[in-house]
Amino acid sequence: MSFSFSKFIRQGVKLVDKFTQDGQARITHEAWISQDRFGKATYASPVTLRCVIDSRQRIIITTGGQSITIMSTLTFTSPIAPNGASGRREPIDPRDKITLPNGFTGPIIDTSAPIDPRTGAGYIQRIMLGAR
Amino acid sequence: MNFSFDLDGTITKHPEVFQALGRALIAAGHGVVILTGIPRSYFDGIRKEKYPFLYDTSWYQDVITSDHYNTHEAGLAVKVIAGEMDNRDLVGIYKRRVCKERNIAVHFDDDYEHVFAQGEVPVFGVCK
Repeated sequence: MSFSFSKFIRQGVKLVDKFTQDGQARITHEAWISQDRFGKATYASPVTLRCVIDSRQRIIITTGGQSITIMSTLTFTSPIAPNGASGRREPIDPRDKITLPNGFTGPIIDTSAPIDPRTGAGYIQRIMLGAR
Repeated sequence: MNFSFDLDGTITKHPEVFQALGRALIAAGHGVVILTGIPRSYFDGIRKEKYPFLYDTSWYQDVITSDHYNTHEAGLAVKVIAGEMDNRDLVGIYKRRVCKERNIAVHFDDDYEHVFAQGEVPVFGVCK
């Protein structure tokens, strides 16, 4: 099967989504929507998302030289709907709360989603959770 | 199942995507290798400079370079040097054999026509 490169990537992500279905877990996503003047955050109602959880711990070095332990890396092979609240980074904001099936909820250290030029959305979404 | 990704023109075009795909596949219990037509000595020489995304080894399990040419392919390499054969056809023959031997279920490659158009392994690729 042959495609343009961007279609090739989109179809490849779909293929990987299909072949990882059995290994996908359900996590809870609470989108940050606002913060009051005292700094207390408000979150949207929790929603369930499916992703592959890589629980191999890794240490990454930031550009500032700080080492951070990554407890889990989550890969979302199907699109995540944006929340829509103003001031957010969509579809995942670093202030969002993610809870894994085992109850673990570490801070979001990094998110990335290489952009599909045709749709403007990410081909695939990756989230790294750090230690509490 | 086992999956393979071509390096130049495929992973290099979108390293972040292939890192994420590889990590997801491995976490889900599949195998992931990088299959390239370049030789190991060349690969090792330019690895740090040209392929910095390979420093993180959590998203692939092996890099298979063309040092794995068998006798037949090494014989065909003479034809390539003599200008009697397209190098991409030789790489295609080599990759098809490796996929068969390593039980690769799906290979991702940007050179679909030369590499896998007549192969037995299901391929996602780009027509150049």
